[in-house]
Amino acid sequence: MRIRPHILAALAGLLGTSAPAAAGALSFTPVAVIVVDKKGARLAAPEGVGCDAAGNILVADTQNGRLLRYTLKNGVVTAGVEIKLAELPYPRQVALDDHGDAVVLDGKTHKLVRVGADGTFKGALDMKRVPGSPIILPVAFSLDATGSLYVLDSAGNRVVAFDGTGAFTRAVPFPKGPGLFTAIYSDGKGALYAAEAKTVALFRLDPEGVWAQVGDSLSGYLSFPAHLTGDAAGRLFVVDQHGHGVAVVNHDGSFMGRQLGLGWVEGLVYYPTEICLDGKGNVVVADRGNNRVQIFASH
Amino acid sequence: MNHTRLQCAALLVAALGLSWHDAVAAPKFNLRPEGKGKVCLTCHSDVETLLKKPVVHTPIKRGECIGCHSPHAATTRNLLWEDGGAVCGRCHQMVPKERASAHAPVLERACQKCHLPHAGDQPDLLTKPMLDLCADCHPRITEAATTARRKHRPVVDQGCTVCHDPHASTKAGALLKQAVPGLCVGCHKAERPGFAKKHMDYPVAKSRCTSCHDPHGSNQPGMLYNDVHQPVAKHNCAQCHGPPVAGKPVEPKKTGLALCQTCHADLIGKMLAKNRLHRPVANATACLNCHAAHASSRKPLLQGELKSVCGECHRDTLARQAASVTKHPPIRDGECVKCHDPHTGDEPLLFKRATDIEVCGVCHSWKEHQSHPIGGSRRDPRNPNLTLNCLSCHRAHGTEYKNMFPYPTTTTLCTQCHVEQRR
Repeated sequence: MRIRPHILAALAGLLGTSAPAAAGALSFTPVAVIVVDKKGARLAAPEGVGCDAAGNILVADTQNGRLLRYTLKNGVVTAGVEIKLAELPYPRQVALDDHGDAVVLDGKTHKLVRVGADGTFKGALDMKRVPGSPIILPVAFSLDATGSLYVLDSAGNRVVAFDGTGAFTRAVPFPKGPGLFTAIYSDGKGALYAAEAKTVALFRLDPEGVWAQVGDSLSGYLSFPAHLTGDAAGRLFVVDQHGHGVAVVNHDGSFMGRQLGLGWVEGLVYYPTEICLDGKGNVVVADRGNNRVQIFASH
Repeated sequence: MNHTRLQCAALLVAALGLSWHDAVAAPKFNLRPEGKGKVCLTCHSDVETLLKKPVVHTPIKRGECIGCHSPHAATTRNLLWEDGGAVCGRCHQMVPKERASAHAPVLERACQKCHLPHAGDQPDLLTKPMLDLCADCHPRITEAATTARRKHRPVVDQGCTVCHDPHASTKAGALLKQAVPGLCVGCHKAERPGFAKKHMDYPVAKSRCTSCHDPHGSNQPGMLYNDVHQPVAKHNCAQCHGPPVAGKPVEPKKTGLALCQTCHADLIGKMLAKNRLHRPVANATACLNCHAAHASSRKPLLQGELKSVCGECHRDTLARQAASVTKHPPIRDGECVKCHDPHTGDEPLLFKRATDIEVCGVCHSWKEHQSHPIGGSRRDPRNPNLTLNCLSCHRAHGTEYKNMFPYPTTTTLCTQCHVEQRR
């Protein structure tokens, strides 16, 4: 019987050994763990993490209905302020921009909200003027280095793009069919990727505005893609929520390996939901099932 | 077995002056004429009574037992030339190479599941009357066919083979002799005025009839599936569809959630107010990802069995359960909604209750779980942010190990926390 790599990885995690390392010699090693806020209150099912090269980390402490700021310096995490906003009763995905502002997707209000570095509400993305669909339900987004915001509109089965000022620029429908697109990622250099959960495949938007599958299905390597991001080297990182790990995929769709595995001790994850790469080699993981955020160094 | 085909083959064999066995793969025995079968009856006298049955297998009728049996020795049971149904395949090639569907017993060469080898009372040597025979494996369908208030007459009068080829079909899935709607409009002429009137003048002649009608019979007027969407039951197609104009004759008035919201605004409003929304609820296909728009045999208007509906996206979960040593009944039986809300919820993983223990407690009395203290504020030694609960030791969708443990042995499991006991 052939044992699939993601099952091997999960088993390896459980048994305390390291997950199969391919990924072009890429490996994650634990740096720090976030389990409480500044006052010692525990995190509850955090689903979103944003980070930047300055060491800022913003956590969507989802089940507690709040955002938490932290800073990472020399491998040490320091807790910052708690942000509670009426517009964000159930924050689920987070991204930081170059100015320290954050874009946050809320699961309850289905709004994308801009939060200032000081924790103030700076407005919600206006999606009413987006043409083409009477209902817009954002379920994931990608904020790239140019400030452009790409929103996965589940109701319209499409990606809706906005510029840095929040103005609508274009809408790109996903291929027709029974696909279930769960995550998108813009690399800021013109490439837009999407993860599809039924076929467990990645898609890329070509210059003609048509989605094309990138490489073969990854169903042999991961279970359920929940989040997608990438690094400067062109590698894509797919959070495998049900397979409890992160799959690393080359930009051409070829599988490069898996990191992390199922478990409850530090270094392992349980239903991870989002990761953030800070550009300095750190990977921040929203380890939802373990009620914590973990930080790894990527080598 | 196709009786007519068998008769034709027998005639052909006779016309060519060959014995039945010659026509197949004759072994090199220099048998006397009576050695092909008549001599067998001296010991196997019971076969003579079989010959009095209304339907007799041609080789026996011709006194050629060696058509199937070796007269001397064999490595198979009953001295057959080949095992089980393989010997039937020497004469009866029932499964074409290019096929759209095939019956599992045929592929398994289990011909005797349906046919008698020597003689019987039923046509085609069936072991029972057709509906009774099919009921052995398809009881829900045959029961519906025979007990439904609105019966599909051809099924009752002529049996399942009126629409299905019992062996294989080159034309359609589900062993259908022809794909739907071609099969249906063979009898139900779409050009008749009554047909159009019944369908509110919508041009459905090329639609898939079985998306609304139960071809085996139902309790609903028009043989609609037993669970009928209210607008369909009231012939109020216009509630969802525009008028049947040329170009876009069955166009829905709106798409996705917006269409269903027209009537189910309260329900959808409540769903959208929750913390979490099941992704298919909110995508472009929305409710129709899981529910049928017109009618269904499964409440509440489900597209199919819940396991296949959920499994459409959650194949990994079904695969995990399939590979699991210990089966978890709700997943095995496709009762995903016992633990998860299919639409919306306030908890991660769309759990119906706030804690794992409450979810599991619906079926399991955790307070009687004698092996370990769980619940309350008992912290998980592996992670200070977790309390001990059922999922601390079990994986609900199954594992490769017994009791849905995530580790191969109980010792390995226990020493995850009780590290001082590790050896």
